Amino acid sequence: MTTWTAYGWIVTCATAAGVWAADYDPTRDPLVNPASLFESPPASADRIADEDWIIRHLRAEPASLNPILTSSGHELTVQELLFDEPVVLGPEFEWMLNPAMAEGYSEADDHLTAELRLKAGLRWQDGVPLTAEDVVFAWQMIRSEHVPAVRARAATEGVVDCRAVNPVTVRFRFREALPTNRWRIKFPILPRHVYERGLSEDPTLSRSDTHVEANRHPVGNGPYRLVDWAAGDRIVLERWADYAGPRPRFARVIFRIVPDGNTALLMFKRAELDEMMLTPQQFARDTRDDRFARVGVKGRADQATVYCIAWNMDGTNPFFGDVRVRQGMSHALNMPLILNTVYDGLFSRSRGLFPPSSWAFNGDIPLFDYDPTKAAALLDAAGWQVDSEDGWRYRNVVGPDGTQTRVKFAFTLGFAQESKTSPQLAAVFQQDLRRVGVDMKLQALEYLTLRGRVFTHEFQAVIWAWTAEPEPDDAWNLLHSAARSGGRNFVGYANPDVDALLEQGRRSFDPEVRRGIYRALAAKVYEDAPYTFLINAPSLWAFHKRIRGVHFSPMGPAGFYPGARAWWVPAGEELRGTR
Amino acid sequence: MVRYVAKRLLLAGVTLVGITIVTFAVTRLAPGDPALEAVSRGGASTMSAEAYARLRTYYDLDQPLSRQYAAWLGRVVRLDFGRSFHDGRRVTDKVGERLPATLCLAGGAVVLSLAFAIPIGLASARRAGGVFDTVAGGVLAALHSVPRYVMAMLLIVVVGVHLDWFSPYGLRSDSFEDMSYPGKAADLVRHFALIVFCFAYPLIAYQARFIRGNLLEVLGQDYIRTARAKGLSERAVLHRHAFRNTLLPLITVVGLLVPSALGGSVILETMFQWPGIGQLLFQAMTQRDYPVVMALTVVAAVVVLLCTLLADLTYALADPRVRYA
Amino acid sequence: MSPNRHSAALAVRDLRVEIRTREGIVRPVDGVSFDIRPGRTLGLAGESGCGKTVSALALMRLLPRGQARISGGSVLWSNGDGESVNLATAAEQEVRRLRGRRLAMIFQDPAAALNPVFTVGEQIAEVSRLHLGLSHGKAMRRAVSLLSRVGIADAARRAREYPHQFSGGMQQRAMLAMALAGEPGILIADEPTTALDVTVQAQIVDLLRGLQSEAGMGMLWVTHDLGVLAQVADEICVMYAGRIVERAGTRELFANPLHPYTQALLACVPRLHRPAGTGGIPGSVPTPAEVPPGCRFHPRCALSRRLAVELDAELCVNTQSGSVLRRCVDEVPALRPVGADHWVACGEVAS
Repeated sequence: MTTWTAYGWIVTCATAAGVWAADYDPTRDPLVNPASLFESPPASADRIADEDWIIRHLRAEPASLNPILTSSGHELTVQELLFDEPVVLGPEFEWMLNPAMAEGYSEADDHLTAELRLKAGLRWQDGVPLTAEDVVFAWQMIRSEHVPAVRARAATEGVVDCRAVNPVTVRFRFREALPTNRWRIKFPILPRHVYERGLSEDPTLSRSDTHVEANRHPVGNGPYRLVDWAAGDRIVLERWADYAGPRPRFARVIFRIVPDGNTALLMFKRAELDEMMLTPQQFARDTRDDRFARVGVKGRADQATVYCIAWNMDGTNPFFGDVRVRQGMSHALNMPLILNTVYDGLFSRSRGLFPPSSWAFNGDIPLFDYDPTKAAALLDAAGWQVDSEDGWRYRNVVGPDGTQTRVKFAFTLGFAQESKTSPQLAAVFQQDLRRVGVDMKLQALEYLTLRGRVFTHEFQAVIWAWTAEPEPDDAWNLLHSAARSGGRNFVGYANPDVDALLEQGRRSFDPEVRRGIYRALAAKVYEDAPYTFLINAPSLWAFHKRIRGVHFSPMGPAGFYPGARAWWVPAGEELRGTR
Repeated sequence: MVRYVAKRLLLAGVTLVGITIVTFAVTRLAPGDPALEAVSRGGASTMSAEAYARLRTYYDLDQPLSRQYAAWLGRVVRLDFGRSFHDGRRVTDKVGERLPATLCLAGGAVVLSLAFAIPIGLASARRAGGVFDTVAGGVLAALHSVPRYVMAMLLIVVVGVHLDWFSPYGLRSDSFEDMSYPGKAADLVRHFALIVFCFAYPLIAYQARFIRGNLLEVLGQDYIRTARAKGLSERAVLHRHAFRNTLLPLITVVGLLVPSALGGSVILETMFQWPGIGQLLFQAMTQRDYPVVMALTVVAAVVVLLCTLLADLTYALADPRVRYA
Repeated sequence: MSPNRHSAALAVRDLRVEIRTREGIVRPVDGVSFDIRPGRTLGLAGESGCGKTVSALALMRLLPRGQARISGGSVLWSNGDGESVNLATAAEQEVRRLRGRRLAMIFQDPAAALNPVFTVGEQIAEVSRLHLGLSHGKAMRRAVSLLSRVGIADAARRAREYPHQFSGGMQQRAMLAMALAGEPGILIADEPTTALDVTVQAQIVDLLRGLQSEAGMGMLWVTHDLGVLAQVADEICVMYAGRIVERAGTRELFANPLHPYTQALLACVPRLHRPAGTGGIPGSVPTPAEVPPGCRFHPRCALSRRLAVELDAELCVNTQSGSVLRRCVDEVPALRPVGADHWVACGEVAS
């Protein structure tokens, strides 16, 4: 790992070349969010380049392009151009039907059944008709015991039956009448005629040569089809001329697989990539040279990713079960300093559970201010007294057998060593806590190891992050006391008031009522502080300057409908392809 | 000789099994497993205990370690390295499709380094202690002490990005198929040059010093005096009579250097976006893709053991006085 | 083939060789003169370290470069046509033209003198290709015939073998074939039989004698073994510590050895009717770095010591090695004629 540290250091020195800004103001950077980047396409098609290629960045090699098996962001990036789904995520995170595939959706009055109507005459890229049977087949595979469909399986929880009424109509049955049921039928589809072959010999869809081949060279129904996949190098897609929807804008989409972000930025500067996600440091510092300005512009927008410190409250430590301790921690954290130094002024402070893009967002929550005195008072109140000899806080803790032991307030904060910002944040926080007499130790862990620790509850506190789902009911899994085992309530949080709000929110069909419930929930959770909310990460992106039509959803510029399909290049500005 | 080879092969086999046991244990005892990787790949939102348990069964991770190893060994003996945990593909396919890229690198590096090292070694030996010898020795020693990844970074940033003389990333350009044949050749060279140089330059330094030292030793031999007594020119003496005698030890040394060159491929291939087995190993490690890690361990161990054995046998063939019992 | 072959000669005059060592410059050969005449064999005798091998290498200009050099004197090669070259001063290129062609050399240890990575045939053929301009095929055929000429059976097969597949005697025969390949007028043999078994020695001696008379070469035979020289040499120079101390026809030298060193050497040679001298010569040859003043042999000289006992004390001097004659320490004895075809460098013997 020292190698990579040194490597990153050299890149910084070589590319920053003296451009070093302690405080960077993105609003004064002329390359950030230029109007051209967001420009809508002209009405006349001949002013849009038709033969250009776009080269996109992939952080890792997809394991598979079978849409029900994939779960990583980089896999979805490729897969969303190969496969169309009937139900999609809209530009502002809204539930919507795919206009190229679906004609209608209707729920019965009891909200326990629903019908999805497909367009007639749809086809797979190999010419075979696409029918309701394909949707049913995909649902069966997702629910199969044998298929490792992690993400799709979680997404379809609550759909108990799915069958084809006729070639264009699918009927779903739900376990409960919930306002969130229509999200449960947003799942990918599979070409039944391709995967049915060999299903008896390999029910996992992933372990026979036939299935592996189908997963690597999928027959899709989206705007592009796969023509080449060179392992570890690139994936090449070509425009599917018979696509039912609007004509795909690029003749070719090439994904270059570049795991290292520094390498990717250098490739971008060589015009070997047309788009990539940037780290805060790259956005603020490494992109201010001429090489970058010659080829690229930058885009920045809010994103639905929440960073926080998670406090383990499952009783395995004597510290964080007490709300006063958690609040004290939140007051001790010097957020203004962290926003300025660690995050280069690029990130906005989190205002709780839901990001600003969510309809459940509550902007009126009073935030924890940086106040060491208040923090100290809260810790005093929780019984953690400062020892006049060494300056650390101690408390007498009663063990299960009734004996008292004196415990020092000393714990470990875990974070991902791959992160650029977490180590700095942890170091600042360590100083803050020392000032109030709390001894925090730092532990940098490989991301996968950290996830493992959190998953098995073997932690005291960690820097944690998630991307909020469009539907606030997702918070049930995170906070409900019933989600402590099997769910994502890794911190062991249990609050009857919160449980009640979560139950109400998931059952009400009135949007305004739901909004009120979730606003109250967000305020309650913020105050109770099972998590100390830090920031909302923005989307930081680089695009080749000829690219137009970009829109930033809460997920970033892609991963929604129409997303990357809307990007275009003005005629005459083509850079690649056979002109 | 046959008995010696048989004995060495047997020993190599035992070593190989030992290496696989250690690798097997180390990779599986390291924190994190492929089921955890898969279950949390989509971010925190997909992590559930139920999915994790199902995936552990899917990957056979719920079996005891010894049984997992025995099953693995049983398959490998039949040359079946199983399927990748990551994408379900046959491990042999995954390794096979990447092997040529790495072999090209290793081969290119050896050829390039010899193309530099032999003339430099010959010229240094001809006037040992002379100006060229001193300067070349100093430059090569300095070069040798530069870590590969530093050199790689400098070349990428300066020669690749700023001067734009070479393409530091990947095997070929995106528009490769549309190029003419000379254009394709030039494109390959532009992509090949920097990474091969990064592989080769420490070898140049090492081999040039080796050739020089060996030549100086050979030049003191009686048969060199015989060659001079025949009336041969100094050049013919050096290039024909002396160099031919340093060739076999040189081949041996090159044979032993290849495995260490492959070791460097993990970092260099990742930095240069080179789709070889070094990059694959790096990915497989982070993904906890045990079957791929194990297969690459076996490949690496076999390469090392074979190179060592071949080096010894080359000596045997070169010098009949060396007897193997 | 060459009309001049039988009249090539080498005249060595006052040859001096310097070697640079860590302690300073030493002279292992210090003013040596002799002649190699057409068709005749000159023997150069002396203990090891006396400078005879260095002299032989100096004739070929094969002294190790950068370490040793000819610092004086001349080595005049001439053929019957009046062409002559001073090998001591000639340009390197000129010397190379003669080496292997006009002068050839064979060495003490044939196993080391043959290149292990080329076949014997190739190594022999190389000479014909270089000097006679033969094609590869012709040169190889010639190599085979040369090998049979030096008495190697099944020469065609043997030519394709490597040196390590040859026995010691066969290796020396191969070296000889290589030396003969350039049809030289002069052959320098540096201890050609020393490394070989006694029976093989005799074979090589016979072979060399036969070839010499057949080809009419002038020959310099360097050895420590006077017994061998008795069989092959027409004339013998005895060297001691870089100088020639006695020179005479072979018969004369054996019949009437005058220099005390020669006498001592001969005493060591086993003869049919006389047992070999016991223990050889007391003391050892001085290294070139510590040559004694005056007569270089005086610390070991039995004559000088015996005379010192008999003569007046004022003519004597005490040294580390006992009492010797003063003139032996003070004067450097020159090589002076003492009879027809007999020279000796000893003040006492000459007077």
